[in-house]
Amino acid sequence: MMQKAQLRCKSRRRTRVREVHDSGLVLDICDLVGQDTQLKKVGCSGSGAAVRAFSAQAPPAAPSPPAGTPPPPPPPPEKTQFGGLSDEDRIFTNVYGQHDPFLKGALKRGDWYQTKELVQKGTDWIVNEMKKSGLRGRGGAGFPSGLKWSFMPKVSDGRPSYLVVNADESEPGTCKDREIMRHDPHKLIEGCLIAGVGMRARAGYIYIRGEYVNERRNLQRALAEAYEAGYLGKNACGSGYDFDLHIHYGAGAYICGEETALLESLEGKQGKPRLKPPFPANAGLYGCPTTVTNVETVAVSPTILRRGPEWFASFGRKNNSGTKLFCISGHVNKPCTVEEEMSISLRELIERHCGGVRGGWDNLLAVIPGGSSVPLLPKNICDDVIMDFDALKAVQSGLGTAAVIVMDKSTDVVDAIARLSYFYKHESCGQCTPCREGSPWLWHMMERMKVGNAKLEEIDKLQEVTKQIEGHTICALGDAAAWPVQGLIRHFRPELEKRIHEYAKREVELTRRARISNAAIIARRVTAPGGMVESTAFQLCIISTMFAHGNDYPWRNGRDSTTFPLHFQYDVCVCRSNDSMNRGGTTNYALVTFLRSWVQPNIRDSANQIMRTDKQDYYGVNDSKRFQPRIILK
Amino acid sequence: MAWRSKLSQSLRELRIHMCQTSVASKATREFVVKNYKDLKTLNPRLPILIRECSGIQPRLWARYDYGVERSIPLDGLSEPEINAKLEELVETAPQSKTPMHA
Amino acid sequence: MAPRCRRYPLPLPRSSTGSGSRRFSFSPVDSSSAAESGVAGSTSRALHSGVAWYAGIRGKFYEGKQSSDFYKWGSGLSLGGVRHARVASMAAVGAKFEAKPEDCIEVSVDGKDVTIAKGMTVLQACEVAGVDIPRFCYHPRLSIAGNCRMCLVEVEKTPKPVASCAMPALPGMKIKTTTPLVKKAREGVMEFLLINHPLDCPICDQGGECDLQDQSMVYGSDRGRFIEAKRSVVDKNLGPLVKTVMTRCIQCTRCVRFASEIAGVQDLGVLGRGGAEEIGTYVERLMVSELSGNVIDICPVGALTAKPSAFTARSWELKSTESIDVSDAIGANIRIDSRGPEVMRILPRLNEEVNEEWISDKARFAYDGLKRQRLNEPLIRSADGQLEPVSWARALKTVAEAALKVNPDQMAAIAGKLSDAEAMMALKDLMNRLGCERLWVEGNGEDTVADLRSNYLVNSTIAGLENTDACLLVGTELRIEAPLLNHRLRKAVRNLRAKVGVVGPETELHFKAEHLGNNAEVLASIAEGKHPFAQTLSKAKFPSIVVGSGVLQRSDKEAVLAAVQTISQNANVIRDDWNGYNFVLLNAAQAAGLDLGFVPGSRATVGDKSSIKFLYLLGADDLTPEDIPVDAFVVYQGHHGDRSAYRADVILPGVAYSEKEGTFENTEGRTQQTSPAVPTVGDARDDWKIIRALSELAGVKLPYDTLNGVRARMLAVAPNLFRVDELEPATPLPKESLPEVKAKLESSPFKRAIENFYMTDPISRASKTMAQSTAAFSRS
Repeated sequence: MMQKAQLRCKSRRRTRVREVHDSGLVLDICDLVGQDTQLKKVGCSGSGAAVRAFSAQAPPAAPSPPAGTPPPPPPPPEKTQFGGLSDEDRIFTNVYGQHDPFLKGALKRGDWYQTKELVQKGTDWIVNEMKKSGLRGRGGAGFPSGLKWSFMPKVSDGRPSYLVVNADESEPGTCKDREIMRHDPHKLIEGCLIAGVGMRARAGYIYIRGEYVNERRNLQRALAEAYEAGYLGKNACGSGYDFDLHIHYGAGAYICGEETALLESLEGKQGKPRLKPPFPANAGLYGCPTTVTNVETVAVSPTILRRGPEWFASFGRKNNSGTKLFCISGHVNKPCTVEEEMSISLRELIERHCGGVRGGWDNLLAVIPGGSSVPLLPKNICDDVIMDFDALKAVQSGLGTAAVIVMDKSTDVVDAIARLSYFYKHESCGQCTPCREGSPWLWHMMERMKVGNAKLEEIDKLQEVTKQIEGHTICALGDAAAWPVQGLIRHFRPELEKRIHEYAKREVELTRRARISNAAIIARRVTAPGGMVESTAFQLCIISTMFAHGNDYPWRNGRDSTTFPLHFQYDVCVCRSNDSMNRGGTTNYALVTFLRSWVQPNIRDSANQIMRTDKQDYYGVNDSKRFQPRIILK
Repeated sequence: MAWRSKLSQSLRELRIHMCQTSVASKATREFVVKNYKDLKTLNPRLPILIRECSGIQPRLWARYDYGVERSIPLDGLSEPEINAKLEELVETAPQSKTPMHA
Repeated sequence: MAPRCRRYPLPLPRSSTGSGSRRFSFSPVDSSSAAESGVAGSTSRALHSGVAWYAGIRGKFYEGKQSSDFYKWGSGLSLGGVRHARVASMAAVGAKFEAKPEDCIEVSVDGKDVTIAKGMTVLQACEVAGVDIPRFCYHPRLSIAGNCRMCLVEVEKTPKPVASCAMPALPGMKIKTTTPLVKKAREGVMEFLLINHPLDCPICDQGGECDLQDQSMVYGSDRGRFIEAKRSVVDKNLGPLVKTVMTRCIQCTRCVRFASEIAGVQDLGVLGRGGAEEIGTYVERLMVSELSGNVIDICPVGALTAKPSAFTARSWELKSTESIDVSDAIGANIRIDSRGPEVMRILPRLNEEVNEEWISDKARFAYDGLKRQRLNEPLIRSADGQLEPVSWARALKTVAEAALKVNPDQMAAIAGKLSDAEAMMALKDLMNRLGCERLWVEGNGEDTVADLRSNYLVNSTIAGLENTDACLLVGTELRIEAPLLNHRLRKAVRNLRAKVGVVGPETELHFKAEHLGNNAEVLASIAEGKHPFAQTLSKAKFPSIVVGSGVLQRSDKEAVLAAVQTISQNANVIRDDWNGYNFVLLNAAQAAGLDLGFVPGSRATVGDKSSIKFLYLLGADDLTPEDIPVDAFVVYQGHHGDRSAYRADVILPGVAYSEKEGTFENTEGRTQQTSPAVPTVGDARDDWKIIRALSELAGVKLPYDTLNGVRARMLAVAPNLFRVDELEPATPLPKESLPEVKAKLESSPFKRAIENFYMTDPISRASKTMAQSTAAFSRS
């Protein structure tokens, strides 16, 4: 399928473009290849004598029935089948980079065509067209773009307005903006001008993530080309509108993709989200009205204006209209980024463009449909879910950035979500309490859930902690940290329970084995000085808690011995001891002293190592892999 | 008004008490505004302490040698009358008595 | 119909002299509305009470101007350290607003309708409604961070709970603070705050006065669910004053905001992110600020505590005494916490008009000097040059005899920096009765003219300096001489973008100031209108001049003051509605000394000290040995064996400010009194009593036997000193009424008045903490 899509893409140069409007008027058909030189001329001279016609050029012909005329014919029956976007309807015709990404190629693809006229139609027209198109923001939240643009002040109070393009594409699984920026940068730049006019902005900033080096270079080059060609700067495109565009490089923090954190970062401060209100449209960049918008949203806007909002709105379900770049990764045969119609069914998306799930559809375990921050969907939901904002919301997930992460049955789904928890813990900015304290806690619990080192009740605890984070934070990162875990518990609770049961079983087995080997010696020796020790299991428990914590006084914390974290992977696992035993500090000391002198002289070393790790990169590395205490009793 | 230059001869310190705003202190204030410059120029070394405090009775205080003090209330007096009272304080200065122990 | 306004407590107008006596006021509350509210005069004395704290601070309004700036870029640009484009509640402290009905909105809190001013936050609306909202990061004097999330409340039609500290209240908002949603949210936040907070309350100095401890009683669980390893954070070294236990930190960032917004230093910041976030000093610097100790008070947990008093006392075993700080002339209101005979710590008290809720480090930490170097019994220098203890009777008799032997013209008395008004009154009376007229207070100079109070006071008032929009500093290092006044000027610079010019020693003020030069020529050129800053001043709406009292030590002080007078006249600094002429004093005793006329009387000798045969030092230590003639008989009455005590022939032990009831007047002319917090040391006596006893032996018995008697006498000399806790404004005389000055400006540069902020008086010189601070922070 993938190959086929690409082939079709390649063959596009030879196809003739048809543009069908509501009025039924078939506009000009011409050969794109033959049009090269002419387009260039048009771009430079700003002449209106173009051969190729778009809706932008023909508003007089557009249907606007004067009053008194009979009502328009009833709308066509609602679409029920989505997907299978034809090449003619693709906005991004160079997603795969087969063509020249720069100005020459861009002109061939129709960028910068009659931009002057679009600009001159003015702000209100642009915003209205965007509203009519039904475009919803492509950055994840899906807020209607036209509406968002219209929030910008109509009359300036002396402050300039700014457009800020969020090109800090950091959501795991998402790789759509990078294709635009490296293969079709002019779409974005032209979109910036259009959006800038739509927001009455005189300057725009593209905040691009630091890791996107080639994308940045291409974008920078395209920007230089646009300036050189007079498309930007003073009197942009000869329209009389002044618009400047700057590119700013981020430094690789996920949180800087949050719009207000992005503004902070752009202002040169730590990227930490701001409190809202005031919203950026009131006080954004440098305290001025600002709209932060996703790359894809901006990049599709010129095409929408040229081809008409009705064209765009004809794709997808109501309120979810348009085409969209989907990035499918994970266990599919051919991972890809592809532009498709909104509301395409997930299964069709995967099978048409990605060669299907590895091992067939039945081998599917789960799908994360919208980038790492949305809850996953198990196979039974994936069977017939369609990919748009409302449908995915209905199944308690979200379209997000439309980054589809596919997991087949070989996946350790708990580990996968634990890894996401690690990501969110790592990327939490630390500003507000629930996320700062909650995301590491989630990760720690998930790490234990991964191996089953937990109690059954802890699944509920995990769920509660996610609920304590969700909705209580300044920005949405807290929600994003909570949702994947919630999704896991919602759909894979039996899996978690199974692991806990298995782990407990293994514990019992290992304890039994420990008892019949060295443990006997320990028991005998220890009983003498402390005089309180009765069972081997108890001793081992102390060993683990002692050194796992790097804490000589675990009892000081008043914890129940049965709930000590046992996530350090010993060769010896530990059985729960009875409570009263653990209260005996003397016994613990006696045990340690004994172990140091008799059983394993280098226990102290191990303990030191762990203590050091605790301090240095306590949250950074998985200690269990690097430091195994050498108390090996088998 | 020759007595004015004798001020620092007979007085060690002159204090004028008045309220910042009250009607009773109005004349005293006028007196200060009109005469302070003259008095100070003639007696540069004499402390003429003008002390304002809300709601107090306007009053002239003269301190003579060896801590002897005398005071005159000024409410109801006009500015020339205050002037006269000051003159009275100067002219009737107690004889520079020697302290008992000296 | 006018909306039905609930009578919420109105913040008090700035000057507390009571209505009528005030000549001008900056409070936009017009007299009618103040009278209507019925609180202006009558409750002014209650200002320091907890009730007023509640009404005046927590429920305070945004200042009108600032709230209109709320979303504007201007404020966002000017704030530097402030992260968000809002001035937030700093403006709320200004105690000015106008309660017009059209500026009010109505919201409902837990079903109860309250009317509040526009621009108030949800949290403030709840305060008005009498609902207490738990908070950690929110502080009314700092910008809003909104990061602790403890203040979450439910607002109807909002899906998620909102952080009330950061959410502007909107008309008709229905706020709910008692719903299960709110309770759950706060419990969740509390659990998160506690998971990494050590359970070391029993050994934590914050214990008993810890916000986290208190709130956890309401929102905390009785057991933890967190079984992973706790985070630990390396402690930071902030110098000898502030102790850090960073593991206890809950990252509320109050200290960071205090440092950048109030203290004006960028020494503290947030490092790292996520769970690894820490408060730190970036590159192992110290926190260098005269106000650094205040971070201890604003820290809601035990992360920042006082180093000098670490592990010495629990908060509940201390006795608190309300008193006045004497370490500088600001007269900050303090609370002396003592245990038995020992001062354990000093904390600020709220007084919006003087120190808000801050005090300087010297005020806070110099108290350990009260325990060292103390004089506890009368001493006489014997024939062999040694000081030996004697009885009071003998000591006083010796002094009286020595005094009576000397010609009154050869006597002099100097009052020290910490003298209270009562002692100065008694000493003045005694010396006058003995025939001596040669008196002065340290810092005032030997022949200062004390005629007009407006010439030596901060006429704009301390709080009023916040309103200035252009200020000229003459011969003063304001940050060192009066840190809290400097903070007020800093507020003017931040909030009103006041322009500040400095003529005097180059100094860091922690705000933007233009250094115009350090010589009299600059002053002369401003006076002549040639200097560009002259235009800045004349264009300003509220121009002000701040003259340091270091100027009094100059030989051309009259010419300097005359030049300042000219400048102030040219720029219209003194008007009916505004007096921007400010003279900043250095020491607590200065203002009262001047008011009492503790200056040379007419015909007194001035200048040449070699004729002095009898010298009475009331805690005065600034004279060098060369200044005191070898054959002079020196009496030293004071509480510390400081410099001059070594030269004394007789030492009479007095009491320190923490042990007596004394009247002090601060640099704006506000009369305040100290209260005894601890008993006197050894055989020491109240200063005025010593002088009273001496007068009897010298045969010039003073006519008062009680403290009230002394104060009654003060009423006859400077009646304003009888008005405790009130400010008697001074009316300036018009220029025509002032004598002409013929003196010429000299070209010598202005000198520093204070070389070392941490050691200025006998107490701070005896303090170990201040010595450590000097070593750690002194400029070099």
